Amino acid sequence: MRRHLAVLLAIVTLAASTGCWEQPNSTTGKKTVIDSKNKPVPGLLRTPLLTNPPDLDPILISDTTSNGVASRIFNTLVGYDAELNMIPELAESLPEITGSGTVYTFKLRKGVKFQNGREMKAEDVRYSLSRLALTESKRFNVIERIMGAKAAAESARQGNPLQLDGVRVLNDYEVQIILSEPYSPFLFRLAMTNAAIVPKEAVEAAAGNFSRQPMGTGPFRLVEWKENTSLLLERFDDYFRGKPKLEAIEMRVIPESLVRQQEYEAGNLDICDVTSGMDSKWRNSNHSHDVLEWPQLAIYYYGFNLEKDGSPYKGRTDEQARKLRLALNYAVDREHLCKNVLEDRYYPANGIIPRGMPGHNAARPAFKQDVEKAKELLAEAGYPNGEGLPAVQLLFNPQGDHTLIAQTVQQDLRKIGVQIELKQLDWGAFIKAADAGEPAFFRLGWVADYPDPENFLSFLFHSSNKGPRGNVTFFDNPVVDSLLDESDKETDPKLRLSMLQRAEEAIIADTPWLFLAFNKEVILRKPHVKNLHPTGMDDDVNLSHVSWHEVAVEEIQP
Amino acid sequence: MLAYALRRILGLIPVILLVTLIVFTLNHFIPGDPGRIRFGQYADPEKVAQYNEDRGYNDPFFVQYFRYLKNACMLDFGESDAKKVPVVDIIGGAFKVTLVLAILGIIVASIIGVGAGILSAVRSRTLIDYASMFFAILGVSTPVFWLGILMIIFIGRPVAEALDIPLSGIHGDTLWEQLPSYFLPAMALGLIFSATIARLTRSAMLDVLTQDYIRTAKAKGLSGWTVVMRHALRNASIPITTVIGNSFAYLLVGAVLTETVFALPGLGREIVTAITQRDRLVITGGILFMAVLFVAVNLIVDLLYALFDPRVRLGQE
Repeated sequence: MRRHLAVLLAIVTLAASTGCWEQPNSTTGKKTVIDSKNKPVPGLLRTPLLTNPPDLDPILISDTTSNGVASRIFNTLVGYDAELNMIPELAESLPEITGSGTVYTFKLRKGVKFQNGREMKAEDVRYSLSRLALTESKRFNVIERIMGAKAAAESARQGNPLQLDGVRVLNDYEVQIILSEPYSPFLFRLAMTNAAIVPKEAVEAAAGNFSRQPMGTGPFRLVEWKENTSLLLERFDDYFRGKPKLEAIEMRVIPESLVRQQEYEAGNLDICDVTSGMDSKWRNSNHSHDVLEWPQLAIYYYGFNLEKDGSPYKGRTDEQARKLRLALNYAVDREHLCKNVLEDRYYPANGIIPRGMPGHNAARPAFKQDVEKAKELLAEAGYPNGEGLPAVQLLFNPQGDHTLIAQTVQQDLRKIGVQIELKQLDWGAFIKAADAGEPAFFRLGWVADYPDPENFLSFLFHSSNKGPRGNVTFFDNPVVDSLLDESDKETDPKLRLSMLQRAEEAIIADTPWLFLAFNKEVILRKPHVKNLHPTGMDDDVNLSHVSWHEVAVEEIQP
Repeated sequence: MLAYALRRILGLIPVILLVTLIVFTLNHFIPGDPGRIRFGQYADPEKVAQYNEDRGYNDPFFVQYFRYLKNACMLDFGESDAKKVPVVDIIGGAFKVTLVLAILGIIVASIIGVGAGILSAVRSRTLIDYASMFFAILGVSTPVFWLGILMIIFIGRPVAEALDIPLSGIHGDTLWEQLPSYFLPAMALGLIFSATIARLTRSAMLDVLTQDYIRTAKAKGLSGWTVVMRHALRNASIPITTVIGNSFAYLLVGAVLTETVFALPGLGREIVTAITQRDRLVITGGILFMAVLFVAVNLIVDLLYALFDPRVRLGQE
């Protein structure tokens, strides 16, 4: 027996001594070794990641974890301030827009350096935007309105060199982007991390592995990545907005929420997410001052499929079906749902455009429960007390709060005589079914890609986006389409916003959704973390729109 | 012996084939589009269709299955749709973590299990025996991930602080530096598996302790512990070795939830991630690898059993 144990120990010791068990580390470069066990270290921010970021190459990013990490490494031409106003980032100023809204001329900041020390120039902008046309790009839609984008994608598919005609280098510090037609929200797309400016030589040197060896102009650079374990970002001293206050950011991949909380309580993390059902625990503990919350630009809703054959909800213009959908909206007590059931983690929805987004109509009251009115509408729809109404399935994926919300809504609807069956499917199967228009009634949500109502209204309700492109209620209203199309061409921001608000009103009147709630984000951060100001665009602990160069971890005074 | 070994190895081939067929079939028919996994949910449908076509995902099921088998024979398990790297690299990287965890887990399990088993047998029908068997039954009945969570919540922090070891995750570059990171997960796994080992050790030792040669050894005037350790344990070691070997096989493939709870980037967690992402080649490759590993370890244990015990003649008259 002892011999067997000795053999096992020998294997471990041998492996340890040969060093052949090193964690996979896809980055090279200097590594900062910091002993941070159980105590804060001034200058070091320790944050959790819920998963290993799949990709850090801007053109491949399609998830919030990667976006959060990448936002610290890269910059875009334009960005947002803390109030989500658009501001120039790598551009010296917001662009001059001419040619009836089709020509955007950017003057670039001088002296902005990539993390390899080279100065960023206009050619880098042309190269970075052209890359979005590559076959592997996950975000072609960022450049789809640029002149020649489709031809560039087709050419790239055939293996030809990248050539995006609509991006023209005027000189080292001036670049012109020409759109195929006016598209007012274009600047918002340029502010997405996918449109980050990258150095060509670093992409080529990475030989197809830029995702693991990213390099940009951002306040931090990646120095170490242990797959599925941790990432270490180090301060980029030559950052164009000044030397960041933090020296390093350590991000640890911890998939289990309970463990993240224990690590936070033990002092091994400076920031932590608050999982569903844990709000009151934190708010009533001695960590209550650590709680940080903000309205997120996101909405939670139940969609009615307006084209599903056999569904009682079918038909946007069918008055009976519309009254039925409206009856369901009046039946749900959102105040109780958000405040009591969901521990104040949501706001009752009062429309589609969420709180904090330009165009949000704060004057419109939130949808309120009115059981009598709901019953009245139900009777007008031809189903007095729900009689004759077939039980429709509500399809949802059972993560997070979804089951709790579904059960609460089911109870509320029962009060007016409407029966719904709850059917759970996991995310992959669920989204496939929703995209294909299979469910008559389903849960979904939308988180803003950029702080503009067009991102909600056009993606979710324009008839050209039916199905997998986002409009899964199969909503089709020519008036709304026309307002959205016109708003795309409108260059006057005020006029444009009023068009979008009118579109929102028209959609609400058609009631394609059971409107539920706007999301709220809640996280914990230690008191020694300073200048951390999340915006409505920030998702959980990923924090992709924080001014990272200003965040600091200060020494705790005894 | 050689013929027996060959027969056993050949017998594994249909098992492995069956595993590949089941996993491949399940993966094939569950929803999830590889092209969308590669290019994102809102990717251009044409691009997605082209990717699926190029990768052969539109071919008939058996064409895909036999192509997979052919490539797998040459250790080519394809490329992950989500990560865009060869599946064999993903499995190789993650398996190192799982292997270390399993080895440390089995060491903990063996030390505690064999120790408690011997003590129970020697002090049979005493409070020590009842107490250790009570905990053994508790251990057998406790799901390992639950014990892991309990450990993290209730004793993880004080233990980690007292011993200056990490609570979760892997810290350090070389295995030597990383070893403290395995302490808590190896304890959680080891405690659970020690229960089975303790029960079997006790029963094997009780059998041996009533034999004549033990009485003879005692009559010769040998001390109690010498008799137990030199004569009794040596003869009881064959079934104990078998159960330790089998437990090791289970540890290699069954640490999925322990890896998730303690944030260890092992093979189990890699497969769970792949399942959530519908990364079908990683799922198939990972499960196939685990199945091969499991049957291989069991085969080795069986062969060792035959090698150690001269009374076993393995089907020979």
